[in-house]
Amino acid sequence: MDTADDALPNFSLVNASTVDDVLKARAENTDSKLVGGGTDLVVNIRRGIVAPPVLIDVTHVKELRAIKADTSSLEIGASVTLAELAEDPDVLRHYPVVGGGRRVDRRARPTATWARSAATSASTRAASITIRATGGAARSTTASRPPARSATSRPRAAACASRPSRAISRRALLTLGAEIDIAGPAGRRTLPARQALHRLARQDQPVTETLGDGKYFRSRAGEFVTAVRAGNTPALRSGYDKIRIRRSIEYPVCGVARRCDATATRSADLRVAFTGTNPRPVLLDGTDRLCGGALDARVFKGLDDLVRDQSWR
Amino acid sequence: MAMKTTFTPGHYRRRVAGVLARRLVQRLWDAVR
Repeated sequence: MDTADDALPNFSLVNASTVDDVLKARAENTDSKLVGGGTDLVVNIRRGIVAPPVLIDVTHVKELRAIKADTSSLEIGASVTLAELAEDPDVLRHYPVVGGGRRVDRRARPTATWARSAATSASTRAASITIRATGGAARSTTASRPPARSATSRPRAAACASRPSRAISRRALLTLGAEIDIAGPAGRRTLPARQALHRLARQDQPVTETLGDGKYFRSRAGEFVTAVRAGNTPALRSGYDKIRIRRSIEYPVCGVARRCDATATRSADLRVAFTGTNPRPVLLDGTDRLCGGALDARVFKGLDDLVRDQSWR
Repeated sequence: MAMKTTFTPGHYRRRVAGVLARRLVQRLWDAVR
């Protein structure tokens, strides 16, 4: 049965304008969830998978919409869309691996993918910033009133649910050594992106201080991502590519960053991250051993070995 | 409407990931030289 046009159940909508507003609303409504566009959440509400009584709209929180990119660092607010990122001249100039995805879902939010696991978390963890779209579904709803069908029409839902770019930046940001800024009831903290994800998803694990929500992301109760930051490495060149295997919903996506020495004849730094093979993005260990020389058969063989050995973890 | 997809074996996806990595490294190398 196609339930795409089913009416949404009643819920209240809280409009937040600051991160503190979000934290306060979450504390007051432990069953709430954050909404930025609704590409996952509203679709799941419509299908009856979840039914949060309160949604907190974070699309007007200025701090979450900031993009800062210069020669020294990159910062992406959690509500920044991939289209905004891909069109930002400073991002394209200094961080092509981040802004260089060829196909961009205009509503998708890159940082959202870091915390999407919390979307289906226990009620004590109110919400996540899982939303990848600024679509009208959330904005068209008013407090305790289900939206008209036209406001949550199938075409919009289908568009919001598209997947072409949802995972671009996790790989890209791994190659840049990114850090994730998190806000929660206990304050703010920063987590290295590489440590933020679990090896495996476990839906039946409780929330703990060390394992977070037990489903990929090491967030604690009530926490959400506010931004992703990365430093710039001079002369580091980066790229991104993917291969869509026909009729497969899991396909490899790869990000590579490489820095040459001053003579441009030897690799000084090589970083490779990919997914589509593992439950979480992988930043290859051991690529430093492939540096120091020209790009030759030894490097390619070594790269093949690393991918083979680490792409199943 | 059912989604017409098939599961792609892991060993094949890993090979494809390796191809992507090699291709990107080569591309970045060529861009510098």
